[in-house]
Amino acid sequence: MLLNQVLYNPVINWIITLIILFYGPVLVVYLIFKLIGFQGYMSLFRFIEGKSIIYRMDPRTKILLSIVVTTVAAITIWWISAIMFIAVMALYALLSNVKEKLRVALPLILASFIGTAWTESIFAPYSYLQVIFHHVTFLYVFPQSLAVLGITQGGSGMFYVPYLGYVNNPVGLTWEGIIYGLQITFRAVAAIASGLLLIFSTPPSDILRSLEKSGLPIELGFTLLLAVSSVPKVLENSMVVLNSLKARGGVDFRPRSRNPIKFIAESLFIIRVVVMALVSIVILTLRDARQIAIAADIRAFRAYRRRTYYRDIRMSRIDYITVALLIALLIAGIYISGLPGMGGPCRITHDNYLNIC
Amino acid sequence: MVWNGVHFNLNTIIPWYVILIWTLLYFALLAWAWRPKEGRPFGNFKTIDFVYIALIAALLIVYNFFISPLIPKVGTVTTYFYYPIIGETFLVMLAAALVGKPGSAGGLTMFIYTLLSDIIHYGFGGEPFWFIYEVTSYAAIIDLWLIYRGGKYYMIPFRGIFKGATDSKTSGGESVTTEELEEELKLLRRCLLSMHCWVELQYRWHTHSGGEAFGGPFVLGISFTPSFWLITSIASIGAGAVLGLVVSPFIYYIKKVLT
Repeated sequence: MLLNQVLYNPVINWIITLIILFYGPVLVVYLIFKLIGFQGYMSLFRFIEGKSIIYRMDPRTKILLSIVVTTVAAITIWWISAIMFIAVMALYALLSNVKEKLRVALPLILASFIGTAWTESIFAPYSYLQVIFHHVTFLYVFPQSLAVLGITQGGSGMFYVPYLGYVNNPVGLTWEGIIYGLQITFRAVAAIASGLLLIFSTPPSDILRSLEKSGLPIELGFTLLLAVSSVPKVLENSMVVLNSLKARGGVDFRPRSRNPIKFIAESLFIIRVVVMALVSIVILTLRDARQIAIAADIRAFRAYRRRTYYRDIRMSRIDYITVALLIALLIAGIYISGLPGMGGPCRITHDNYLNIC
Repeated sequence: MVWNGVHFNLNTIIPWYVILIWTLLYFALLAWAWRPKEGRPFGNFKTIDFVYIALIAALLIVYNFFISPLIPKVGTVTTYFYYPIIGETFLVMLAAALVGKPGSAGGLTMFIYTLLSDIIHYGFGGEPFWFIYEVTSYAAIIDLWLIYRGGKYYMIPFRGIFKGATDSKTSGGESVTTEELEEELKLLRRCLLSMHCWVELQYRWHTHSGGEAFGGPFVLGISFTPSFWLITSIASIGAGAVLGLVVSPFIYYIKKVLT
């Protein structure tokens, strides 16, 4: 009874709702940043040599692995994605310095789980949850006026809400939304894990060579590879700029004042600083472009349509076996997706405002 | 039928043949602009252009995966004005401004970004349609603008400023006097901003046309009502103009610093 009065006191109800709405996903990302840090993100794009079978495989096989895992995850039910995710994660045991790799990969994967579950728990359409789970449980109810934000709203009828009792047409956080978010995340994380496996176990030059061998024009291969290898540089530049800003004036990126006018002034100042920082990061990154271009030209980039390499990449027996297994997995995935209730109902998207499943 | 996560739902707001014609027209024009010169594909592209595109693609990755998620998003606002897209808008336009060749925005920058994001994050579900969607929705208008303008992204006053500021000679050999330069400076902001608003307006319009009126239903199988699409598209035009106004001075400044 006391808990009911505390949780659903109008002021506390609004505070909890606003915290869930505005700070939830941001806090998750902030925590992930704290766990990994910029250095961690940079290590994502830096290759460290290894000797296990995964390092000896042809990069094309690993690219195919990523494509097949994503495709099968897209067309089949969520638990097949979960199995594939576990299988791909098992392959991480073959990586050198596996603890360091997992220190980066796991927070990223965890972020996907928490972020999607959090979002879906409050935004998954009621009709969708009803179709999938046949029942929707509201864990916490938000103020009714927030229905306009597109927050999950129960259909007509009474719904039992813990510590509140039966409520008509509630708006709020649902248990099925959390489960639905976790389910659809398995599709994404299976793809993320297989993509990271490729990055962790293949030197960038081998990826370029394999893409070239697959018919990708040298210009596109060069651009792609330079983009991959430049990501740590961009992150490094970001650190340099942010540290120099801090060193010059102890810039705090959070407004601290309680006076509303000062708060607005501080916020505007922060926006100015952030814009300055972003422009500096862009300039710092692009400033080296001319030197990189000269270096590439000196090495006869685009001078000949066909290039030869000192160390060529070839498909070995293990590659052929893996490719055969991947083709079998793809065929099985297509077959399973046609079975009743085994197909994938929704997809991860590239676009935030298409992020509806 | 669902294949690789594509639902092939043709019950779309914009008929499929309109999108098909638009896509074919865009790629045909791009193929024409990229016809081999001196035995090399990609038309007039030089090594430095590929370097700029690669670095901007890297910036796009960092922005979209590390910075954009930190920006608080308010559902009701982002439905009509997806403000976190400002970073992507800025970088794609910067690529077009720096490289200044047809295909620099969509054909290359968005292509490389999509390929990279597929490898490191999204996976290849929905492909090849996400490639087509990302390229045609986010940057095709800018590429077509570059094809129409013969690769000159900015309007004449802006071009004059750069030529004048750097070597006081235009490409035709005419000199740019101080008076002309001052006159151009007066016109600069107006032309620059109006051009950016125009491009941004088209950009936002097509983003919504592609996403809600075709891309979303076709690939994901979800549907939007025509009224929702119309309202969000109209809202996006205003939002696009605001984004264009915000990013244009920074693109101007960065191009000035780098060239």
